[in-house]
Amino acid sequence: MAWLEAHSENFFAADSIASGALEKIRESYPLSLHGVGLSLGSAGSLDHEHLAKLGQLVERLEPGLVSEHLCWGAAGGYHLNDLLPLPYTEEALEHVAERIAQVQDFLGRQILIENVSSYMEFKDSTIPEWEFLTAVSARSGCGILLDINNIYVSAKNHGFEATDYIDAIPADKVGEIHLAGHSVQVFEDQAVLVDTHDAPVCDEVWTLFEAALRRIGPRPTLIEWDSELPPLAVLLAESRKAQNLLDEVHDLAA
Amino acid sequence: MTSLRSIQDRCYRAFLLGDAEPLVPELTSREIPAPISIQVYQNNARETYRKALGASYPVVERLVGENCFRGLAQKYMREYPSTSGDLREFGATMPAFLLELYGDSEFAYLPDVARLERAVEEVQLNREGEPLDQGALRRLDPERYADVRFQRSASARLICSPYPILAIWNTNQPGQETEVDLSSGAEHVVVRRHAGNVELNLIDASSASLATHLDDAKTLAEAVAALDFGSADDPNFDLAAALQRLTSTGLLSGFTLARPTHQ
Repeated sequence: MAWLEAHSENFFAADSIASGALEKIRESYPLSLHGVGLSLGSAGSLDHEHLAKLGQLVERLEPGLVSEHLCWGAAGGYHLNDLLPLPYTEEALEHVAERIAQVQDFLGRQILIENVSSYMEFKDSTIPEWEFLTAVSARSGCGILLDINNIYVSAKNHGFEATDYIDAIPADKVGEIHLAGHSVQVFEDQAVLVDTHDAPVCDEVWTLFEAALRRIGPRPTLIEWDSELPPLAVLLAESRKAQNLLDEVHDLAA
Repeated sequence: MTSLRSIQDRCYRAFLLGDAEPLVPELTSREIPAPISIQVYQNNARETYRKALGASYPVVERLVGENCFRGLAQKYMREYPSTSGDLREFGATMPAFLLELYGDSEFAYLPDVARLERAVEEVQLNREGEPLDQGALRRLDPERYADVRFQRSASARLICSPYPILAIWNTNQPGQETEVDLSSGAEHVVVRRHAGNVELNLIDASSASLATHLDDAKTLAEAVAALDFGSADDPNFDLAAALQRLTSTGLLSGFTLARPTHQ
């Protein structure tokens, strides 16, 4: 195993049993901290208490990568604890880029921002998601955590080409790649792809991953499988498949 | 154009509270009809909070059954919405919520089981406490015992209940399946983090009562005087044995003296 990724919030309690275990792991492995609760796109002010806890965690564990999501999750002081898509407008772009810059200033380092899966589109959106993400990176200076499964899920749900998305992302901004499985859920005869992290990576996503690697180059890659866990052998086989593709692209580039 | 704040307020009302109508005109319905989009996110919210509560209160979930727990989680997420981006903070008021619902019913033990489960979760988050220095206590002039004020360990909790909550908790652990007699009486459980694990230990009613009185920053003499030997407390109360129990179960972590020593 080359490195580990952990959800930041699960380790905010410095003295917890879980934090003790992660600190031991950190002694031997590089670490990536992946936040799900900062709610960067929410209209209110930043949650400074949450940010302070993240800052303390980063200081404690000295991770190689710190990432958050291009999303919002709180309104009017209450949280939905979900990764909700933004309307892709100039107002939202300016707002979220400013907040990401604030987070980076506070942490004293660059963070990566991940694209999320979405199941709704706002009428007010005027900017394609890939242009929005690229602009967020350009304005705030953040890197990009490119989730290939999320691109695939949103492309199927909203009728765009996943390859258009991947081709539009500036390669030099991509610091990490995520892969995952999803499920197809049916609501009143309407099939919707939902990012559930409970299944193998599908063939189409593997194909997109390979195409992304050829364009962007090898990047630290993580497979998210955190629900309905299969036997370890299945996880290891998925991991090997990703590593083989990374090695192929690395050999080509050499 | 609708402001970002207004769109997010509409989403919140639709996804959590079920008030979908104001959000529908904001969505395109180009590929997925707006009402379906809203259903997906409503479903996500229900599942997120059900799983979070299930992770914190697995015994309560097992006791009431999957379907009932799903309904409870949905009611809870609306009445006690999440106030943190850290999902682990969600559910802290579940015992109070269950008390409101079941306090006067035949299921009145559920809130106490939930308090026990919350304690199990909380002690995992705190630093493992140093044990009380019994040598320091022994070296103390016996005349000063009355002035001792004990300190509670941050890594231990005392949960008192008129129901056999530890027996209920034990029998609802994975792989366990025994009958519990609900009328078997009160149980007082000390939950502590010890040697990297969580331990649950029973203590007797008098020791639990003493611990409760000591909690109010009373001196040992004041706490003993406050014990009600006429009711629940044991008329044959053995103070030394009670203190030994509170110490060995990790509930007490240290002590101070109420007045300075006069030499």
